[in-house]
Amino acid sequence: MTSVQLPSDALEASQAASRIEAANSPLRQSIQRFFRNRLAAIGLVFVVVITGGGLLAPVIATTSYDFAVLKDALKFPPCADPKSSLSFPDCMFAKYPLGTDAIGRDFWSRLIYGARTSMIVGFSVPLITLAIGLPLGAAAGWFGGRVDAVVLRLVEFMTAVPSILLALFLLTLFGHDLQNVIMFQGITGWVGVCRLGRAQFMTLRERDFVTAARALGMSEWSIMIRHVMVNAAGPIIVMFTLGIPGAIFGEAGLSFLGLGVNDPIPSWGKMVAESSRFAAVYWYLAMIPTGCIAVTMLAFSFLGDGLRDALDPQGQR
Amino acid sequence: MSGAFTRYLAGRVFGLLMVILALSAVVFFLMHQVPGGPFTFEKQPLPPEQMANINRKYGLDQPVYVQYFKWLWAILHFDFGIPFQSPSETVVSLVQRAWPVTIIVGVITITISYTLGILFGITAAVWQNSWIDRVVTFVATLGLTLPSFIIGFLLVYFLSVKLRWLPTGGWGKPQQLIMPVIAYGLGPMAIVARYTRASMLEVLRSEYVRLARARGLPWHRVMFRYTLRNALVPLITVLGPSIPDVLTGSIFIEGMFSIPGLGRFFTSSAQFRDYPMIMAMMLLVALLWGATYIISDVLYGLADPRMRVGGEVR
Repeated sequence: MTSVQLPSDALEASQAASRIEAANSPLRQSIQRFFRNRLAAIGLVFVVVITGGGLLAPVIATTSYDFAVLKDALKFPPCADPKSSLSFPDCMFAKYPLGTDAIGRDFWSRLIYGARTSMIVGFSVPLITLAIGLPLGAAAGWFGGRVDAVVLRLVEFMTAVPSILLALFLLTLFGHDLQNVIMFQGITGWVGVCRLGRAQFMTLRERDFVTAARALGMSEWSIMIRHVMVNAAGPIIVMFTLGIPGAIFGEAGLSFLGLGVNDPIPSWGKMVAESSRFAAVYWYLAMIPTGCIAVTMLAFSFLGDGLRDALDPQGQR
Repeated sequence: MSGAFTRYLAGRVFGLLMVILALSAVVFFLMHQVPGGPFTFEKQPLPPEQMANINRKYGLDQPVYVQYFKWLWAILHFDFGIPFQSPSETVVSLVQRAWPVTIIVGVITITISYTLGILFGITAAVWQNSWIDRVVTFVATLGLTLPSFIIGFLLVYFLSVKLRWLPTGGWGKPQQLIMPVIAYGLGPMAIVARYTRASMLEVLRSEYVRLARARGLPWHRVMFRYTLRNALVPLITVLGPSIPDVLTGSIFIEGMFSIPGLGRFFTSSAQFRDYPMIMAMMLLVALLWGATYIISDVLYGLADPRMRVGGEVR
């Protein structure tokens, strides 16, 4: 009797296992893997908060970022000011919740709009690098031969000078504003995406499912978009996410040097540079934007690392 | 073998020279194409005749392609011209004055950060998942993600403004080097530590290390003879490319700590439209980067016999 029962138990167990597996699609497994990584989940929360803050800046900010009242210059935050008459919960909703900067602009509003600047740069620069680098890399990897050689020369050309220096050079020559910061960072930063796209398309081209699709008479373009692009999406998404802190870093650095975003548009990097002169007394004016840059960079990096581990479990660091 | 190697090396050097030639042409024409110039009425309100004289003196009145070929000819004779932002000296003497400062900071930074990075990486890998590993990973993440000017600002605020232990900047005394080196070196250290850790873990899990342990070889022998040698080789490709970065100086670090190095000329040259200086800096950076790529590929070939192919090493 037992000898009959055992295999049926095993069969049931294996059926149950396959049912569980069916419920756990690759996407779902990826999501589970992602949320098991605590740092990545925390990173995601911060990314949502910062992006939301940037999007809702006109609602959250108490005044406009460029509204200056000179006689209110360098006011302490009311909650930290011993001379302030307001007690704890009320001081949070005072006129200047975080005090004012050197020319009397509301610091809280500038901080929030600074998040908006960072987010605009952070999302558009990787988009531009993707728009330039991915088609080039895909063409190089897919067609190989002469196309590959031309793209490789171009890549070699771009790596001869570090991208941040090239961006700096272009910005000083052509003038600097938010648009140019985004454009030149994009133009100079596509090499990484191009290399990744090339490698992905090169390996995927040789896979059996591509040969099968070709045997079934699919056109080259459909194969590239429907099969290869979809399979290359994971690493490209990761590259995009990790490109965001890079772009934010670039903008903050350029603005810190005075070669980034122009006044009155606020930028965290610029706020650090402007406020470091008053750091002995008004330390928070430089420290808060410093913290904002740090938290944003860390959040996006953790998110990117988490996405990489989730989407590509076999991948090596 | 050696013939193939010489041919390979010659090919790489030739390729690098071609890239630099193309790059110099692009940069030269681009900087002349942008409206404005080194000597304009806004910068120096001079009568047109004098302006024409200045432009003639520096050859700026000629067509751009003529200027380019003249520049190229002068470069072949090691004549890099006169920097417009400091006309009393030559580009060569300016670089000779400023670059050593940058190199001193860079070499100290590289030495300290790479040594510490490798040590931390090894420690973290050997005692994987211990508290040391967690601390190293945490510091490495901070170093990788925080911009150097943020670290620099935090250092200045706490060590100089609050505690008054160190001068905020300057050049000449050894204690003025401490903060720049920390701010500058944390990033490279983090990268090195992270790669060393990953590479060590891979080798420690390999079968030949397990076999060496199973045979009862002493721990130090397994570590030094079997693990370290193999784990540190892949680092060459990681360490190599970061060296020119450090040797050309960081604009952020040199600006923040007022170090009279080469870094600030990257911005000031572009701002002054200092054509000879822009071209000289471009050549310097491109040569350093190109040379480092070639050297690290060659070293990798020497250290790892599997990579020793005459053709494509990368």
